[in-house]
Amino acid sequence: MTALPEPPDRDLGAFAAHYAVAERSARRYERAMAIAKTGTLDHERLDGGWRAVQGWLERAVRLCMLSATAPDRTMRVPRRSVKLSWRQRLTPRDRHRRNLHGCLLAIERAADAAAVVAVHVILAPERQPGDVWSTVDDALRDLTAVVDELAVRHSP
Amino acid sequence: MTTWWHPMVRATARRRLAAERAAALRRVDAWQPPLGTGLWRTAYGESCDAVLAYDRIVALVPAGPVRDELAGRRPDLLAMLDRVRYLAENGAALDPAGPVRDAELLALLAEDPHGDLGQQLGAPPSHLLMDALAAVRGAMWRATEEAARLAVHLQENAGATDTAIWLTALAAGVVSARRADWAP
Repeated sequence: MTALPEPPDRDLGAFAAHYAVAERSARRYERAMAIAKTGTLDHERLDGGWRAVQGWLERAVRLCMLSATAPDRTMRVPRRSVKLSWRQRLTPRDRHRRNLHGCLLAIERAADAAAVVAVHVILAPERQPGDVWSTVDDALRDLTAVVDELAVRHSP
Repeated sequence: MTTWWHPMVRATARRRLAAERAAALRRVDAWQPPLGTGLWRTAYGESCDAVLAYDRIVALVPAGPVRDELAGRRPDLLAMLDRVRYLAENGAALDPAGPVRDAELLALLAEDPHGDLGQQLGAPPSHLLMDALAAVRGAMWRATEEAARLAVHLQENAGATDTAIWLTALAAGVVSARRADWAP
């Protein structure tokens, strides 16, 4: 359940730091989930978020490997009459870097949403499992919204 | 064969952990629990300092009913310290370096070709824990300062007869602080 994807086995060069940051964010989600589960019985949404984070980390691994080998210059010289978008003007390495940053942002935002649930669990007074607890339920709804949004906007 | 998951073994372990926790609280050790060297440990250490300062103030007050009353208020401070410990432990578990963003993450996001993506991230949620911890810590220091005022008042006016009023104010301060920050 808590296993993370295999770390890349090749030299990532300058992108090793990206992978390390992505893994730290995923571990942050995992720690927040462990705390949040002590105060809520609704574990399904937290587990769903964890699966999404695992998927994003896998994507980050792939992008790190692609970025490390991608050329850092544009392959084609555009014709004068063609107006390229800002993305088309990027080098292949910068395009991968851009996607990788989207990955990092997605994982960090998911970790933040789980941390909000954990913080509400910590700050809430003692309660019995199964009690109505609107604050944590609201935070869980926010977590679901964030994960759904990530799935729609940044689907790998 | 008795293994670690046996209910009796687990109950014994729970009792031992609870005893260790209570002993650590009585000792008021800023290095127990191990919270690293970040902001969480600093905040917990400052709360421990409040209890230690309170102990020194109580030791300075001349023996008598006032000193007994002040010494009797110590468990209230320990209860607040236990709350601080709970908040600090969980905060350190969430964000070990404190309620701040990973500097390396922000540096990487700042290199994005389309602008600084780090600005899309707000403050980490664990700052709420630090705020709650700071509130309890402030309440502990307020109680300590009330005790210090009372001790100075007694030193300056050895024949004072209004200490009951001061003690009532101290007790009311502790109770209101506990109600405001934490309802046990």
